[in-house]
Amino acid sequence: MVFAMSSEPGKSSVVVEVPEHPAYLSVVRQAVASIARQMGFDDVEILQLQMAADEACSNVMEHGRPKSGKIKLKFQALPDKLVMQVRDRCGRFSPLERGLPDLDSYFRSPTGRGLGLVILRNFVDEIRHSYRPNSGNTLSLTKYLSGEEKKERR
Amino acid sequence: MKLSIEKLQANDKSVQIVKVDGYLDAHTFPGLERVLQKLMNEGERHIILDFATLDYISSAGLGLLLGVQRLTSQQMGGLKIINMQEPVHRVFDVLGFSRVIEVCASRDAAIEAFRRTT
Repeated sequence: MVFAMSSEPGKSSVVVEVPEHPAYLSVVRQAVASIARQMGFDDVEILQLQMAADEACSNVMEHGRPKSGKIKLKFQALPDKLVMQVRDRCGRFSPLERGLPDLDSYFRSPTGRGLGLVILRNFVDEIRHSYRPNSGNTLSLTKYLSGEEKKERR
Repeated sequence: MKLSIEKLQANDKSVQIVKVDGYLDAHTFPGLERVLQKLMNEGERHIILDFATLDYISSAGLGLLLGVQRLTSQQMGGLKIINMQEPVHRVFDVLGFSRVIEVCASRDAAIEAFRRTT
């Protein structure tokens, strides 16, 4: 695992690199919780951010081919938002290209697939995917602080 | 994740209470799945999950709960969850799981819910 941090006024970033194995999802979630708590997100928002980061990493672990071995997460704590970038070096793969299942069809489905995407779409405010052949996939997840939290952070 | 299992007899029903400590994610849910599958294979169909010390659940864990709810309901039993922590409960509600899996305030409330519904 690799951790790196940098900081300047109003902006700090943390990079965490973990092996592409589910045993390390807890490390990712601890990093998310630590950064998000420091920014002023409340307990429910922290859990939602943890779930979104977990799903993004789990997707890479489950569907990313060929295996790249590692996942790099970059967290940017900005005055009004947290941006989490999840990077892998697999072939082009975007969870956003799959149709969004509605919850009713999820509950009716015998396979129970698709909840991860519902979590990604609902628990962050913005989600973007990009791919470059030399550097792989980047899934960017952004969650904004609410007004009260921003006030406290000033 | 740590699991502990307690069996009790409530009225004419055998009820299994499984206490889940830690977190349920893609790495840990197979451990709970094995335990619940074994209970169901042994004919147990009234299961209570005590989440007092569960502080995280992912889609993998939620999917497992849904599967267990379906299987136990088909056997005229069911799955109840007790002592859910507030943030986990809020997410559970937002994702609609409260509509299909009953969350009860206590062990007694869960047993009473089984008495009413199964």
